[in-house]
Amino acid sequence: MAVNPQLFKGSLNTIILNLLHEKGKMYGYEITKKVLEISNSQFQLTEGALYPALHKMETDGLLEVSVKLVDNRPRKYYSITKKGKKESVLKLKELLQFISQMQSFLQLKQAGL
Amino acid sequence: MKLSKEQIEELFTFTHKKGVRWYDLQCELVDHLALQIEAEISKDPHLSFEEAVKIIYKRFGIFGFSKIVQEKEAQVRKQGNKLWWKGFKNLFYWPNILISGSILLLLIMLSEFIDAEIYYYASTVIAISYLVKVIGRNIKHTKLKLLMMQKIEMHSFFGCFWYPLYFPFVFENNNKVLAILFLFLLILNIIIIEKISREVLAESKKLYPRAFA
Repeated sequence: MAVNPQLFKGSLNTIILNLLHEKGKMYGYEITKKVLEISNSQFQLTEGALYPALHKMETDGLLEVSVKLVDNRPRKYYSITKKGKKESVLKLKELLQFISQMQSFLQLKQAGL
Repeated sequence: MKLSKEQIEELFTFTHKKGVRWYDLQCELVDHLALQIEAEISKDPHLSFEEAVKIIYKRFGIFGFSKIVQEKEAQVRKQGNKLWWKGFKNLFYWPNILISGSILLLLIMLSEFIDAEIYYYASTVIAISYLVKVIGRNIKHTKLKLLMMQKIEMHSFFGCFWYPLYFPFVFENNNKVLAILFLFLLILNIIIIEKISREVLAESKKLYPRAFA
């Protein structure tokens, strides 16, 4: 069963930042493919969600861009900035905290509450 | 299977037809479409290029590229504002404060000899000549439209033409303080826009040389 994309929505920036932090520079299509591969085809990242997120993070100084000519066309690569790396660590921490809190909510019975 | 140069050009035309006027954004979408089309044709070699374009475009939903364009425009506007404020603040730090301080001092000293109206006429001449220069420069520089450069141009326009609001104050009361303040801000605005334009132009030339070919 595919995961509800709404559940991913709030964590999209964290996912992208973390990917770029780990993998170095990537282009849009490559990010969608990687997300699909990591999530075992559960999370289909749409263009309508990906590019606005990338552009916003570029404006916020979390990402920087470079362009290379590949296969007769310019390709825009995104890479994480120093500020982006700090943000990535922070966001990941927040997400892990959120997951642990969610787990507490979902395991009320086991906890006897 | 890799797309040919002609097919890539067709994709540029396609994105333009679908409302993406900006070359910088077209580049990103064309590459994305091309990669998806290549993947689709590899899966089904009987599929034609035109059919593949239709299939891929459908995946963008009923609004097509419009959401991406709108969001990008909003981000670039925000980025333009950020750059402007950064430039404005920089003018009040050492050593730039020497320049802005000298300009203000000169305008104040001149006010001993000239009326508020003269400041107003000077502002009008400076604002109009500057805009003519900016528009001319933009036409000359870019063969293809770049979003960031267009937004900077808008900044120069609004930065130069908000002052009609002050006319009544200047004319009715011969308000020199306001007249000096306006001319001062106008000159600062031109300095800021010039600096941003130079930086954005250099960056754009590096990223999108074809837009200047």
